[in-house]
Amino acid sequence: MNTTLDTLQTHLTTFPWRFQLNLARWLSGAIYGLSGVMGAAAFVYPFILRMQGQAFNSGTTLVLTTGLLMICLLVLLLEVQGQVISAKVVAALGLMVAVTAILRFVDNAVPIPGGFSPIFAPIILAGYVFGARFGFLMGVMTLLVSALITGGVGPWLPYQMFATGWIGLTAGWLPHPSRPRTALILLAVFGLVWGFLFGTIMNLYSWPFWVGEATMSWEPGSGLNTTVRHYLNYYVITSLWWDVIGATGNVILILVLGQPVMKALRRFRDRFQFEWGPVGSEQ
Amino acid sequence: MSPTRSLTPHTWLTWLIAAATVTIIARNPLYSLIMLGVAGIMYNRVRPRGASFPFNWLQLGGLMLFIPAIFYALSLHSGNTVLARLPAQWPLIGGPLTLEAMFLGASNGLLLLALLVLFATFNRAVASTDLIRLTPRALHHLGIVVLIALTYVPETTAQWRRIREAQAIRGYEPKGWRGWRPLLLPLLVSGLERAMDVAEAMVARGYGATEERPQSVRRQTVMLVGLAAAFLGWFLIFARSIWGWVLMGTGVGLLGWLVWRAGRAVTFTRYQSTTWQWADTWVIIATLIPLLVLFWLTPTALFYTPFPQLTLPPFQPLFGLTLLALLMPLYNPAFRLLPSPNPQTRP
Repeated sequence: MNTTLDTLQTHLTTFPWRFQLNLARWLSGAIYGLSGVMGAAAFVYPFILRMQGQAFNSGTTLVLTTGLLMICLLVLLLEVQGQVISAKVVAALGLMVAVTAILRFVDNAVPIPGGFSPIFAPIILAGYVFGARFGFLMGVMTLLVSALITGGVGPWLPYQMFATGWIGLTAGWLPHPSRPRTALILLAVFGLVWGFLFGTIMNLYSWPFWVGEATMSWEPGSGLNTTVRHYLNYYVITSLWWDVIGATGNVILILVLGQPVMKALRRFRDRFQFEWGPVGSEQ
Repeated sequence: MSPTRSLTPHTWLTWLIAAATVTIIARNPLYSLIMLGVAGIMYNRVRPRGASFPFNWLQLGGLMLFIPAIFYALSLHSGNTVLARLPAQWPLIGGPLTLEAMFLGASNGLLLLALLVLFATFNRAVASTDLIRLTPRALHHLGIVVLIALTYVPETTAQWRRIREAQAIRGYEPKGWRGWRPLLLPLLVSGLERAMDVAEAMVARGYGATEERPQSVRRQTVMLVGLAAAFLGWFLIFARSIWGWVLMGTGVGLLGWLVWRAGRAVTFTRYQSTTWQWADTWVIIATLIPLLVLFWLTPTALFYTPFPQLTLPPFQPLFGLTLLALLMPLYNPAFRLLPSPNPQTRP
């Protein structure tokens, strides 16, 4: 049945130009982009509210923003799932999530104070080797499963899931240089950047709860600049050192474990490449 | 007979959402105190099917009240009741330390503590494998992923222990960061090997035997439109426009319809279906009562600020009483008066 959109797609893909426009891929990219912007907005909503001159610690805005983020997450999961599911991917995802989820608690043997969490390195490496969608799903599911097994489900969980999912997603978008050492250094820098970024945005989430109102609501005439400055003060006092430890931990883990882990993952990816199908479906 | 007998996970989720929404919107310290009491009673009396909270409640509660109080006192310097004074030249913390600021900090911490206990009760009441039933039908495959992960966590932990023992027998001790390679890599590789076996077993049982249709352009367009509408609506709500609510409602409705439609395309059967009992209906009705009363209360009745002078927060006894309806899962008359319709659901 030819609908307007299908007709449009047919016209666009047969347009006599050198490159072919793939409407589905463009829409896919648009969905990722829009949900990324929405997620970012949900994290920085105190600043948005401040720009409109309001006190931001109201309960309704928090409920609405968490709801928005959960919708965003749901839609992204639906979009990503629609393209990658086969029994091998499901099983590989499940087992890798299990391994990473228990890694979160295995580091009791190595007492490191601070914000170091060993789950980010495997997620980055898996996203790099298996692709952006696998990385996104792995990030989201690891947080969910580790929350379920420890009883740590809380109102921060959608935010953590969203942020970690994006770590895996962006890891899949990294370029693949030909020299392995360059790739390793690239991944290490990526881990460093995301170590700080993750800490900053999770801090943003907790800021209105702990301190935000204290520095904002009762100073009339303060605007966006003051808000940002106050947030940076809060960040430096509370979590900068935490994030430094977290970020450097990521770098060390990637540098030390990156090569052998990627080799193992690549070997399995190549083993996973074959497809089962009904007779007569070979092309 | 246990106080809470097999309420469905959906009922518990509704209870959690209603209780958390009420707690967050009614930001009054007195209501937070009531909610904390309600949640504490629930946590103690509920039959533990899931994971329990790993920390000491008393210590955690003390910390969550104490630290924000100090933080607020040090950063917020307004209010009439001055307790101490720091030199005003000091960069962030200089100025008067007031009781009002400490009170605001403590009440924020109380709110967070009440939320924590609510979520801990939910975790405790619902077994983690039951939580899979809460996945939307459209995300069925991802629910399977979570199920596989949950099933293999104990096995993977045992495998980790076996690997450590095997290496210890060989006289190996991890030294430095590189020393963890011979321990972590076998864990990863054995996990992936097991994944191959699980995948073969799934395919042998017919998983993925029906071909899934690829994403249609129509569905993606609806997704995009719904997202954009919800986003714009959310933004407009902050600008205090009524169109914000309309737009966000439309966007959410569109996306909900899409998820429902996607769910209908997924076919699977359940070995054990969840039975819906009268107790579930009673609990749902009871949890909706505080929400209704909340929306009926005017915003000024809920607004409370300790500045400039610390006063007793406003308290609506009727609303406080309706909060007790959230204890319904425990004292459900349906458990005592009406027999269970299906004798097989008795524990």
